Amino acid sequence: MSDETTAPLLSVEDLAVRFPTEDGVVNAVRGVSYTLAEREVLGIVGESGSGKSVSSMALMQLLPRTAQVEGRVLLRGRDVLRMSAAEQRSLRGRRIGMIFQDPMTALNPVYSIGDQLAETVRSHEAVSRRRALDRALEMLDLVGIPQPRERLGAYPHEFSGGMRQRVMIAMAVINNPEIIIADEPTTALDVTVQAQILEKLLEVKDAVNAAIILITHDLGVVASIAQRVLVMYAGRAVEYGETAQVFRSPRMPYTAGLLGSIPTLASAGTRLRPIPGSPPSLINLPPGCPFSPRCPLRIERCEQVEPSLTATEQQAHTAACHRWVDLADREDPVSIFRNEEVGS
Amino acid sequence: MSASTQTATGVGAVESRHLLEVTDLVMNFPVKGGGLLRRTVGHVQAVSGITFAVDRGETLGLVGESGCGKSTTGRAVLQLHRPTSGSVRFDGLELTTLPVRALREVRRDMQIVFQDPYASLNPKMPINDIVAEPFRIHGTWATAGPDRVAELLRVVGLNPEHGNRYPHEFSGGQRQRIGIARALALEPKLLILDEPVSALDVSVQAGVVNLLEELQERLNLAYVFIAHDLSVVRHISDRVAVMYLGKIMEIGGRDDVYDRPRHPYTQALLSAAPIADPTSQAHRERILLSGDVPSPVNPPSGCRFRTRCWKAQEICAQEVPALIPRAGSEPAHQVACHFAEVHAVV
Repeated sequence: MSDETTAPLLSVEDLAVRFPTEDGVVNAVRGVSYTLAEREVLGIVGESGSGKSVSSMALMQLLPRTAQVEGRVLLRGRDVLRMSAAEQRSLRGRRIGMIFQDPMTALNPVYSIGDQLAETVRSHEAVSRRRALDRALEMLDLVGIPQPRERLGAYPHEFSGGMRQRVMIAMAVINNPEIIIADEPTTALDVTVQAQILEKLLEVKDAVNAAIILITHDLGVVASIAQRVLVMYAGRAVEYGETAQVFRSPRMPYTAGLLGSIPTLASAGTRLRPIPGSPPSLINLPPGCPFSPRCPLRIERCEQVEPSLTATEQQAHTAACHRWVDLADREDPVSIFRNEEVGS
Repeated sequence: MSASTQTATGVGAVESRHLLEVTDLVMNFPVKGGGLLRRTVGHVQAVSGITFAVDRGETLGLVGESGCGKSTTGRAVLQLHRPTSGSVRFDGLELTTLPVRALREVRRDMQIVFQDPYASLNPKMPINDIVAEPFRIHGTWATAGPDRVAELLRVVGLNPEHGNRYPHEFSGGQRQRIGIARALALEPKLLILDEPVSALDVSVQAGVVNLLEELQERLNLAYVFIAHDLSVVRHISDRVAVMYLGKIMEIGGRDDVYDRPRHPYTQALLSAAPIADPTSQAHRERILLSGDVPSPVNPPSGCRFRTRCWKAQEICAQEVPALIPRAGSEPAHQVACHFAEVHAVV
C-alpha cells in the first residue's frame, strides 16, 4: 500500500470509458487525467456528449455493467478501479458523496427525508436509528432547511426544488466525505435559488473539509466557485488550469469558442461568435484533433496527430492544441471565430 | 393608471402606434378539489394585471424565474389561453373578444417558437411537410409551394436538400431552426419566442441568437423574447420587463434595467446570475435572497416580492406598488416598488 499521507487526495490517470453498442463502440472518455487537492473546487466543463458526466460516474463505479473502464483512479494513492466490490461500495456515499442534477429522481419518493438520510448513515456505520436521525437533523440544519425537526418526517414532494437540492447536499455530506461530486447541481434551479445553493455548497464543503468536483455546462457557475477548471471535448481533456487563467487566456480554440458564444455586457448590439459545425460522433472519431473540423486555426498536422495536454507559457496551465502559441499571440483569442452571417 | 378591465375591452379598432398592446392582462387557472364534484377550490393567479406594449421591429425581453407567469403571458397574447380579463390589442384589433374563426386569420401575423425542439416538431413528418403545414392550414399552399419551403429552410441556415429528412435526423440547434422556419412561413409581424435557446448548448445557442437577430433586421419582426437567462435577454432585447409572481416588477430600456436597476428584485436577480468572468465575478456584489417564491394560489398581499425583500416595510404589505416611473428615472423606465432607487450590481 502506498503512502496515504503524501499522495494527492485524488489522482485520475488516463481514464477511458467505452460503451459497446449495436452501432459500434462509443468512446465516451478517451484518456483523461487530473488531480484534485484537499478542499479544492475543480470544475469540469463541456457540452452535451463531452464525457464530463461519464468520467465522474466512472470514479464512483456507477456506470452500467457494459461500460469498459480503463486507467487508474487513485484515492489517496489507492486505485479505486481495482478495489473489491465491497470496498468500492464502502466508498460511495461515505468517502465520496454525490449530488445529482435532479433531486426529484435521486430521492426516493416513498420514504421520508429523515429515513433516507438515516439510511445513508446506517449503511456505512453501525449506529442506532435514533443516533442516525440525530445526524440527519444536524445536517438539515447545516444546509439551511428551516424547522429541520419538523421536516424530518416530510417526503420529497413536499419540498421545493431548491429545498430538495439542499436535502441532496445534506445526504452527500452526512458521512463526512473527502470528495463531493456535484453533477450539474444547480442546472434545474432558478438563478436566485442557484446562488443560494452554490453558497451553501461552499459553506458545507468547508464544514466537512471536503473537496468538490463540479460538473457543469455553465461557464458562469465555474467562474464563480471553481479554483481550477478542466475543459472537455469529445471525451478528452482539452484545457486544464486555474480558472482565472483559462478564462482570461484560453489556449485551446474550443475554450475560446465557448467563451465567445456567451452573451456578455460587451456583446449587446453585436453578433455573437458561435463555433461552426457540431461535435464529432464518438463512434467513428477521425484521426487528429477532434476539434479540427470546427477550428479556424486548423493546419494539416491537426488532422493527423491528436494533441495531448501540454504546458503553455504557464507550467500549470495545459492545453491540447498544436497551435496554442498562435492563440497566445492574439490580443483577443475569442476573435478567431467570425461573427458569422447566417443564411445569407 | 389602472383602467377597469371592462372599459379596456371596448370595440372599434383605434389607430394605435404599437403593434401589440397588452393592458391589465389577468390569467387565472382554476384549482379543482379532489371530491366527486371537482369543485373549484382556488385559483392559480398566473398573471395578475400586467400592461406592456411592443413596437414593430422591436424586441421585448420577458425575464423572471419559473412560475413568474412569463410563458403564460406569451400564450395569453396569442389567445392560446383565453385571458381571464384585460385587453390584448394586436395591430389595433382587440383579440380577447374576437371569435375563434377571426382569430385564426390574426394568427398568421403572430407566431410562436417553443423551447423544446424535440417535442414541438411532429416526429412522423419530414421537415418539408412541417414547414409547409402553415400554408396548408391557411389555404395558401397552391401559391406558396415547395419553392417557398426551400427558401425558408435556406433563410434559417438549413440545406433545402435535407427537406425530406425527419426531425430526429437533426441536432437540437437545427431543430430549433426548423421551428423558426415554420413560424416564419406566413410572414408574421410578431414572434413569441418562449425560451427558444435554453435547451441548446452554448456554442449552438449563439448561432440561433444570431439568426434571430438577422431575421429581425431583414423582416422587421417584433419579438417577445421569453427567457430566464439574463445574459441572453440582455444581448437580444431593446426593452426588458422583469416579472415576479404574475406581476411586472420593472420595465424599461435594456440599459436602464441592466445598468440602473431600481427594483430590489431586479437587483437580486442580476446579482445572482453567474457571469463567465472570474475577475469581475470576484468583485461584484452578491445579493442573496432568502426563501423561495411564494405560491401563486395565495400570493402575498401588497407587493408580491415583499416576503423576500430586504427593504420591505409596513406599506409593502398594504399597498400594491404601481408600475410607474420613479424619482429621476426615464419616463419609459417604470418600477413597481415603494422604495425604488438605483443600485447597480453588475
